[in-house]
Amino acid sequence: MKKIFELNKKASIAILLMIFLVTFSFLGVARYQKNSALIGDESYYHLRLSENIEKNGFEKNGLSDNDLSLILGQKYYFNLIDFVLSLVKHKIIFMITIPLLLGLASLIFFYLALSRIGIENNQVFFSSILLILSPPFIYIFSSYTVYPFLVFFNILFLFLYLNNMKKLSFLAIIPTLFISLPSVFLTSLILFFIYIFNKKDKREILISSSLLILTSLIIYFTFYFPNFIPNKLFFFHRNIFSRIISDLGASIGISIFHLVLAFIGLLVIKTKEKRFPNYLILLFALILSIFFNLIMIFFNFFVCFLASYSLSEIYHKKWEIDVLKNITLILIIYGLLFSSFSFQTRLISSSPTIEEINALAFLKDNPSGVVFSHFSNGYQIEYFSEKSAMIDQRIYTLNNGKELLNDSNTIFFSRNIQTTKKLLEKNNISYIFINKEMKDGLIWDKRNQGLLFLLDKSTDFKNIYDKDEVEIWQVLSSKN
Amino acid sequence: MRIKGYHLWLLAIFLVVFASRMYISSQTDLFSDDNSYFTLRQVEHIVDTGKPLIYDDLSYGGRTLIFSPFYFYLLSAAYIINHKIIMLKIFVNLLATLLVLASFLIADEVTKSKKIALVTAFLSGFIPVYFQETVNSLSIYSLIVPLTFFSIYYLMMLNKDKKYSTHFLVLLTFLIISSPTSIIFVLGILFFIILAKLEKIELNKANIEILIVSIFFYLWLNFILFKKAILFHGPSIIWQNIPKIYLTQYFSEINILQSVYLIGVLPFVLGIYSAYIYVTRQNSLQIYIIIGASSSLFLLLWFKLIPFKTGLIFLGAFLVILLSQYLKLFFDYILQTKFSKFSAFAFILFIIMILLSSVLPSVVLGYQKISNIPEKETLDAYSWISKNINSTNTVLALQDEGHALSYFGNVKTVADDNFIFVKNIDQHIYDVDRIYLTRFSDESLEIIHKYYIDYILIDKKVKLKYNLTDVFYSTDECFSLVYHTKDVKIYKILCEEEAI
Repeated sequence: MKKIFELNKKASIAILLMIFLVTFSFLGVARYQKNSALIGDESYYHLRLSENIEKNGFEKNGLSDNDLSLILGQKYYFNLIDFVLSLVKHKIIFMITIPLLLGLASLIFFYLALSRIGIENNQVFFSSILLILSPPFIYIFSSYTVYPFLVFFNILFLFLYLNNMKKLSFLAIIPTLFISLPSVFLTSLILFFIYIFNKKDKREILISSSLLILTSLIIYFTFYFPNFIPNKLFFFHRNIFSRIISDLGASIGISIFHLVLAFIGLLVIKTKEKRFPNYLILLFALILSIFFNLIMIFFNFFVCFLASYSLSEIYHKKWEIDVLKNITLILIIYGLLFSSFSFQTRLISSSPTIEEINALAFLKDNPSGVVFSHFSNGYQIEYFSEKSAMIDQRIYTLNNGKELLNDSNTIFFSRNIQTTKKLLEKNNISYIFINKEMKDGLIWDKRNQGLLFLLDKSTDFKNIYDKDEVEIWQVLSSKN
Repeated sequence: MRIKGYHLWLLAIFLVVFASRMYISSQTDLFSDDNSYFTLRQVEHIVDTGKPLIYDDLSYGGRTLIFSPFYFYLLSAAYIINHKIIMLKIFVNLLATLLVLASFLIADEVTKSKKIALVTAFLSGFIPVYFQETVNSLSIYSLIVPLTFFSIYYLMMLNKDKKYSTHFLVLLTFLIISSPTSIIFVLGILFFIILAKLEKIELNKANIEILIVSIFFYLWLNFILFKKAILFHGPSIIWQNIPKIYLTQYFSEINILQSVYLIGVLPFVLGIYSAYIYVTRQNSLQIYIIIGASSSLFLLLWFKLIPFKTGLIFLGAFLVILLSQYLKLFFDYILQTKFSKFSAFAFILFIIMILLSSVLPSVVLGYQKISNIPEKETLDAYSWISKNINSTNTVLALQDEGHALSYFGNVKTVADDNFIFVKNIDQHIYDVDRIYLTRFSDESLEIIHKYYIDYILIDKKVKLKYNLTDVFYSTDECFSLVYHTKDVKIYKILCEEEAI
């Protein structure tokens, strides 16, 4: 294959760093200008817990401040990233910079790992660019969650393992045991992939995987059982396409252009490589990724790698009609950029917004009580208003998750004040928090639907905050 | 270029088809389908402001619209010459008649016989379902179907000579920017390539290149255009958020007899037979392009991804082309037999069969379509509405009449057949039905207030659909009859909403 351009490693890495910086600077600056808040609800969960740890250590009552799940008996589990954050003085700066640095490091280790297994420099370069522009990569390294840490340690593990630093590689995995135990299964999956493609060290890989899984099971049963077993909600209520494809609304999903390129990449591999059947195992990863974000994030790395095959093929191969080649390349570049910017735009205006933070800060000064809102607002309510939210994102692991979700849906859509009041009392709700997103389709699409109608017409609610499309209503019960 | 006999024949066929269409269409100043009034509002808005109507104050009480505006701009070019409906009718029928030229070119290329190509061109002008759906409407299929066939023709030519790549790319661009229905062509190329590979036919690499560029262009454009709708509805955007109750109607199960009538007996039977011959016994790259496109159509119909009628329109046109190849085989065969002297007779017989099985049903269906225009009494009611009801008020009418009510009445409507960006659409449509059907004014008022409805329109279509003469709660004090003719009533809502 004739190469149209050939970059050396240093130049490639320099260009990649530049693209990385441009992508994340754009996101960071735009987010700061629009909302000046951390991206994602989960960041505030870690911030609240780290502050509680800082103030009260690991004493249970201190941790369960404003945390209905913990108050109602769910056990707190030690998380390394909360603990590390509790030690830091400038927490917000740390929460912004650490994911970025981990992203940068992960990108470099990904680049080096691919080079290590003998992939051509140009293709490694394409894979890395596709990775930077991919929505899952942008999402995980722009918010302080468990994912940037898990990705970084697993990529580091992969890099060290491929460089025959096996003992060191297993050391790199140890922190993940204290961040998210199930991620060990991912590490085992990576080992499995290494074996499938290498067909070497079978015994060693089997022992290592077993040890990893055994260790995590011991830790789980010793400290955490029976917490974190997903309830029924976790496996249902999921639409496959809108879970997998970012352009269809998935928060952590693959871009449609990456997927199409990866599919073409698979066809290219089929004609060129004997190892093609091995790649079909990726279907298994795709199915798992519907349920597990972490698998989706790693699946994205594979997708970028496969997509690079098709990009490389389209770029290097002689086409019958030259103009078609140029048009295709332009469309691919526009498509990838469109998907990436479109996702970044979603992140920039995503919750929590500055308007929501102001409203919750106002709520903080009001008497204590449980706040009702959409579960995706739970963590930010708990952090900014210093009050408990009826439901937050842990709904998928709560024993009574389904019941809470049913109650919450009835409250949202019922126009019968008796039904609504009964459920509000049952869940001790004192405040209702409504943001623009909820009124714009997340829950309602008309201004007089369900709860919105009752809030407007009934005397059982008092509007205590209404600014910039964010509303807070106080529930006036007989006690009040 | 020298004008030859077949050019004149082709011109004659073109004029016959166009004149037949215009004769039927010019019987009325109105359109036969509600959707044409949406197109008309878009065209008038473009002519007035230069921009399409992106935020519609009237549809569903006010909402953002999402569409590809290319077709509306094209129609505006005709409308700007003369602000008369007849201009649009002429232009749309002219576009639809272009299928005759495209079919001639393809059939000529496939059969190498001008005589058969002319017959095919004539037949393509009278595909009953296509004729019915485009004769008195501003349907986008008047543009899409000829564009698809011109694209197919240039794809065939591109396989012979690379110099046609520019023609093909220009057509492909127009096709993809016109409507998402262009997926039929994009998938058609994929199926053509698969078919050729299965038959082990050496393929020009350009076909794969075209497939790649088509897929990326289609994805790119549709994701840009429909980005908000895709995020709003997720995967259900594929079915255009059509309510479940209408899905069976829009994408109804395939009924063979109905299909035969709508496509025409000859193309249906002989076209399918021709496809069978080429899949099982003979090889022809050009025919595989048509069979590939037909296969993509079957797939899309099978998964109910395109409406039944849309599928039939394309299928009808594909089968006409396939029929041309059958004719070629048939007449070649006859010439080799003792019956060769009867070939002229067979040809005439064939023309008579075309007249009976395609032309006649087309004309009948065309006239049937003309009878679907809004009733005079309903139009009078719309006129009363536009004079007496403020455009900020909402009037309830059937979802099938939403666009016409917006156009003639200039008031907010509760529902129309564009379901994109409407949340809980099933509930929405169910609520509309309940208002007309409920026996209780309390239930009706609850729904009426939910959608801010100020007036209820009951016309002949409502009466027919719900089998009623009036709403059950007509005597309730909350409803006041403000307009009344033999077939149309309009009630004003007097009571305001209170919390339960």
